[in-house]
Amino acid sequence: MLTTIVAGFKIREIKPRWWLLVVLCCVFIALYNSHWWSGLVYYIASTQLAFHKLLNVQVLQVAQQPEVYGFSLMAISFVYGVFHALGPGHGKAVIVSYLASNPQSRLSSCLLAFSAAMFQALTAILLVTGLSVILKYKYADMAVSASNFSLIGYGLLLALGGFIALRSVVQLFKSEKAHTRCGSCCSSASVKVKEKSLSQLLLVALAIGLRPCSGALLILVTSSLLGIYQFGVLGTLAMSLGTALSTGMIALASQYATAFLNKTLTLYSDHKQQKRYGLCIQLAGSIFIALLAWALIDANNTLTNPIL
Amino acid sequence: MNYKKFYKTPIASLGMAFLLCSNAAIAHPHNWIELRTQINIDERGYLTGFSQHWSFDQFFSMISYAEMMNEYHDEPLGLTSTAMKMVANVAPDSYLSELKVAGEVIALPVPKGYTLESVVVNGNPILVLKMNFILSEPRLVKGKKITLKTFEPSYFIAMNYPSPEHVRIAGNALHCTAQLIRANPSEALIDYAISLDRSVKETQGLGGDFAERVTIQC
Repeated sequence: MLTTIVAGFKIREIKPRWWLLVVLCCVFIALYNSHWWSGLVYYIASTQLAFHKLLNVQVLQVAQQPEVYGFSLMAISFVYGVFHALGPGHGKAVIVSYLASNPQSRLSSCLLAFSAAMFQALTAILLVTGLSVILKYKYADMAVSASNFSLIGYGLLLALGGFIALRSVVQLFKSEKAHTRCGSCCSSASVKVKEKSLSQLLLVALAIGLRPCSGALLILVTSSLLGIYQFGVLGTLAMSLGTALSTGMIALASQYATAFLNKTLTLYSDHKQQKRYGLCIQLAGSIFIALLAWALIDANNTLTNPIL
Repeated sequence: MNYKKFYKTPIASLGMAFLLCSNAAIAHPHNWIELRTQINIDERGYLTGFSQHWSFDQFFSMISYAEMMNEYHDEPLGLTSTAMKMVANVAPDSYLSELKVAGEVIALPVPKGYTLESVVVNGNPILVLKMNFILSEPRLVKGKKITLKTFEPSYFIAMNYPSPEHVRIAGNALHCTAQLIRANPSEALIDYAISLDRSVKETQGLGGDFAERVTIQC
């Protein structure tokens, strides 16, 4: 089956822009191995750290003068969200690989990023309200519970990745059958690839959002201990808006990049081959997501402060 | 594809590649401790022990203080109980300190006295753990080199001396000289540390690479 698929790939034309791709790859590899790169990474990490500390100070100030600092807490939370989302978490990796392997419209790409960020904020708020505020868990215990909670999200991702992979294999197989039955005449009877599925999109967002952001947990717990919980909730929502902004940009970039690759590397002569190619990409993407989920489940071991 | 789009998409892909490959997730460390150490050398030239102050960071102090008050409803009782818990937690790790005299590791005794205090710094309450280690057998250190490394092995907590003045020698009839040697972790190690997410299995030993070393030459 595989050999017929590979043999069926006909090269239509390689557009002259392929060199651009090669140059980009070389530039990227050169950058990645340069000192400049680790300097940049270090810069981002230290900026995040500075924001983290700023956030702590801000929450303490809100406790002293809520009416003065309440608004600035929200502003700083928003900026923290933007910056925090610039470092890659698993959420972004999932969003990018999902969008690359399941082409979506620009609107749905943004919707995915936005809803993932909102789910993440809601998870944090529900967890802290339930465990910390109502059940009086300690911060460290709550962090452990939160990490166990995110296991559900990883499990969901694993199942989703497996499901999409299985579906694309079945569809590939079906298209193969259709192909052998009527030869080359049946380009109209091509297998339908589901490209737009809102519920699947939201499931992906939910799976990502089930892992609460540590920054959100931090301001929620701190504000609840200081008796200004409502500001913590507002700050968390502002933070998730910031996160949505950054991940939305990433989602859009991913969408553009997929379109660019499709235009630059169009290898397949007919519509049907193109569709199979799409299915193969979908299969690869979903296997990647499933593997990523498995790695996250495997690594899910929350470290806590060894002193207290 | 017009010129603008032609220009935009490679930038988008490069940006995306960057975002996927940079390793700036939620980084280690998560808490910070400022150290202050006093090494005690008596007039006969014996190292009798050392005392240490650990000033916890604002966030840790705030949360621990609030949780302590929720649990005990009484500050002195809470501070005493929390101090006991802390000391018990670090005891298996030799109180996070490694003391050597002329290369020989000296086992640390249970601290003779320890207290946890809530001190106000810049308007914010900070918890400070004070411990006093008195060696069961004082060591003659004339002409010898003492090293003291204080670090948390998993690097969940960074322990640093804010300045060389935070190390001092009491008594010091021998006129020993103290030197603070900052950690010089390789760039790759820094990359590794900042790439560590909360959910990483094995970071044990990482703290040692970032440890600051106090050396005293007598």
